[in-house]
Amino acid sequence: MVSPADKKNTDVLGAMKLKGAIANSSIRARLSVLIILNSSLALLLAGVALFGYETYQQRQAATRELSANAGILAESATAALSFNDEHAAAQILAALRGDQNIVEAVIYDRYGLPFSRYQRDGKLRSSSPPLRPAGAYFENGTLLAFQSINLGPDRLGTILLRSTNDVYDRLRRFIVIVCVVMILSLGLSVLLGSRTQRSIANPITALSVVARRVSVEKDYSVRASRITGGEIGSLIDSFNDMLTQIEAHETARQTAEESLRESEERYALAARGANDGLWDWKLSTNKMYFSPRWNQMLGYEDAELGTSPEEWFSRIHPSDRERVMQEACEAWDGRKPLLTTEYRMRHKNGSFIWVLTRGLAVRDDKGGTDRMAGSQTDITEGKIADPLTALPNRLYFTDRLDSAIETAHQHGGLFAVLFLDLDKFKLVNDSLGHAAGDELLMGVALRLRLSAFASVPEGNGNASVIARLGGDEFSILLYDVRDEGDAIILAERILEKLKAPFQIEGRQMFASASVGIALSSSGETPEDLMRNADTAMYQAKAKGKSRYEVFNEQMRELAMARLEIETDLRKAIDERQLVLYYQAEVSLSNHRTIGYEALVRWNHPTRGILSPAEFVPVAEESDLIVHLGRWVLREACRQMAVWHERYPCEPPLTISVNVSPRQLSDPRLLQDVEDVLAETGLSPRCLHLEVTESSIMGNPDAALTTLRRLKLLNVGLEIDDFGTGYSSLSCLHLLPFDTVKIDRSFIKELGFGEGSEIVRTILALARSLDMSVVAEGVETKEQTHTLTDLGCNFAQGYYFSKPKSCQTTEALLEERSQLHHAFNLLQGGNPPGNPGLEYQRKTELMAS
Amino acid sequence: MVLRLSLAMVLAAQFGGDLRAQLDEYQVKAAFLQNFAKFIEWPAEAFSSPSEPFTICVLGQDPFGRSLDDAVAGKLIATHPIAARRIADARLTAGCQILYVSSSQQKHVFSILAAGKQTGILTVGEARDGSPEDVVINLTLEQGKVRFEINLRKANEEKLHISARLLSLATVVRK
Repeated sequence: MVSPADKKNTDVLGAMKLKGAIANSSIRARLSVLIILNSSLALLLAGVALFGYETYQQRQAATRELSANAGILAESATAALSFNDEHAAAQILAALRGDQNIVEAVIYDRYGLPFSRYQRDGKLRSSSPPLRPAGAYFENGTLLAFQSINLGPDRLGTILLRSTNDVYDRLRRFIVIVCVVMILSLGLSVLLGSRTQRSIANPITALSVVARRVSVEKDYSVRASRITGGEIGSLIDSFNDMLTQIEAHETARQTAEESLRESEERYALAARGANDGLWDWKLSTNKMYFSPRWNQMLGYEDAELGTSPEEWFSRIHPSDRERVMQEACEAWDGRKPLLTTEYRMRHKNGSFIWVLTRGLAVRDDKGGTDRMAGSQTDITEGKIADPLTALPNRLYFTDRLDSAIETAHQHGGLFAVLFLDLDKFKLVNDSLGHAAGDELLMGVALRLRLSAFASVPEGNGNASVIARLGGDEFSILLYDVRDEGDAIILAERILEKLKAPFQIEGRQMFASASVGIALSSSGETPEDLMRNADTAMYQAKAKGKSRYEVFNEQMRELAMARLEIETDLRKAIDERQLVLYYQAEVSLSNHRTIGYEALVRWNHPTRGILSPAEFVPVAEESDLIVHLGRWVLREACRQMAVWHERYPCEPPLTISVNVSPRQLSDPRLLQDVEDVLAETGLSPRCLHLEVTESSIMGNPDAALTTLRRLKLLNVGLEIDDFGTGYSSLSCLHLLPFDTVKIDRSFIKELGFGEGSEIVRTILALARSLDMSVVAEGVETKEQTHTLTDLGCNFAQGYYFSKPKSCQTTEALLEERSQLHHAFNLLQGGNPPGNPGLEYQRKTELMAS
Repeated sequence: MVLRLSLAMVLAAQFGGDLRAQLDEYQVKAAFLQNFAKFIEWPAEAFSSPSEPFTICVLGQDPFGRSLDDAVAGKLIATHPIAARRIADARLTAGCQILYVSSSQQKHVFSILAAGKQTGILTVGEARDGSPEDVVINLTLEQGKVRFEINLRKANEEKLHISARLLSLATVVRK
């Protein structure tokens, strides 16, 4: 059951649907509907108008015709009516038989009563129609014409003619024709319209297809083909232009988007790759954004920290805070273009991490800043770790040491600092290169780690800190020791570990270290403890290396003394407290003195004469040795020149001067020698420079160059302490030495197994290289005989002469000169050489 | 409106029928006399002026009574008002356009008329069996209906031109 309201709704819906259908239908369909509707309406209106006009015309014609007939009959009937002659009237009406259409005629008299009647089919049907006023009437498909019959002014009656009107037949035919014409016209207009409609709809349809494709596929490279002109043509052109612009725009947008995305991605990757945290600080709201990594760096979850700058500043180490804030202010102000600062921040777990913060203040057009953003990098590892060995560095070590001291202060307890320095590491570095040196350091670091951890009880991760302080210096912080014994155990283990050879660049290498131990009780500050350990280490080194020493108060005193010596020595050079002693070098063939070795002594104002062992090592640690060496060189040459003048002999006495390693690498050495020779007038051949084997091996190339240059000055070159260094006997021929000095340690061994062999080998080598050999430290007659037997030329030692002061030496020379003189007088000729050993020994004995 | 008109027509028809039913012979004849004037043209000399009355004269015994006077009262033939006159003597026909001669006088009258030189008089008689050739129009009764005969020779003599429509109703006599 459908209620009226529903029905109305349905109708409305139906209408809306229809409207919608039209609205949604294609242009083509709409154009078709439009054309059909318009054509139909136009044709219908034309048809109706034509029909109306035709109807009117037909009626008019019919009416006119019938009225004319009626008029004629009326005229004819006047007499019959006038004279009431029905017969005549009937006859008049009968004349209508000639007219097919007139089916009935009636003459009414002046009273309106039928007077005469005519019917076409002859049968009288019903009564005659009632009288009406004059005029034409259509009734039941017939036309009625009433015409009054007048004679002059008199009205005699009325005549009626009824015509079976063919008007309607004609109209019907007319309608049929009109309908046919309408249908044909409609068909034709639809036909023509469809062509027009195609020419309109097709381009638009094509355009809409393209537009749909563009919107669905997002392909802006398609174009609508221009298949028509006019507005649609220009619409297509505009559409294509628009597409071109969109395409360009789209391409640009995509490119920009792409590059933006890439750059964002790149930045995100970079930040992630760098493991950097990001921050963004807006001043107007005083809020900060911290990236997840920023929080994580400090041990916090994302949501744990707020957005206040306090979250940042409150976590900065108190000692760094003020500086960082200062630097941040400078970046805000623009006094510095960038904020770049390193500082410590408190981790959630209470420890401090090192961070590097970089920031950039964003300036607006007016130069104001509301925003600063940047990155934060955890540099703790780089800050505290040594890149080569991956051990903690000095910074970290000091930091740990600080807290260890603090802990010890608060809770008592003892800990130890071990200071470790590789022996002769410089030699390794210089002879084998830095790569080898680095490799060795890494090897040592590994063994240190193994040693240290092996000494730590299980589960005590904090038991020690091993750090590389720089160069070949390592340091170990050993917690919780009972006494120095614990530290000694570790030191011994380390020394033991280091004994095994290292495999460096395919060759075996031995390394040793000297270890200094300082207990926490020995000092108050980190600097104290480090210095104490360092002192102990020096002590160990001084005592022969590859050993350890525990710091004690004596060492402090010793250290103080060393410091004192260093200070005094500097003064001593200037104040001429240094003196030279001369030790004779004798020919083993006749025991005559052929020259002297100049040996420095320090005539200390309070401590008396000091041997070189007491101050030269101190001098060697600084450039004092260069000054010292220079003084020795000059003084020795000067003295020898004086003696040459005073006590001439043939061949002239030689003077040997020691050149320390530092001097050898001193670029001024060559110049100094030249100057001294020129100054003193000493013959270069009389000056013998003694160079230790080890000082050459420190930097062989440079040393060789210097030696060759010296050789060019014609000075004699002696290799000192031969046999103790690393240089093998085989490379001796490469060096421009004239003389080899055999180290006293081998002379001491003479007559005991291998000792003689080494000396023999050296002698054979020297002989083959045309070098003279001086045996050092000859103390006994047996040694003298052995050396003579072995074919050694020269010797030096207590057996012949101790080092003597300048005055003593000069006195001997004076004496010898006089003896020589006397001898000459006795012999009446030139003496064959220097005074003999026998004589010298005699005088020596006398002098002592 | 149409209904009212139709009703009026019906009433008029009934009333008219009543009127016509009441007409007696002389009332019809009086109308005929007047009607003849409408189908006949008189020579110009029949009237001395346009306003001169068209006079219907009744000679001898008057059978019309008042009906003739009623019929013509207020009527015009062209410009001429119709008048009815009764005359006793045939010589007094001057000024008459129609002269009705009663059957009693007919023979006598015509001889008089024939003797006169006057023309343009439509003579109307009602000889039932006599000599109709004496008058221009002779009224007869056929089955109760008034009919007439027209003597064309007489009409020509009187210089009257009779309409063909009138002639078509009449029995035409040419002698």
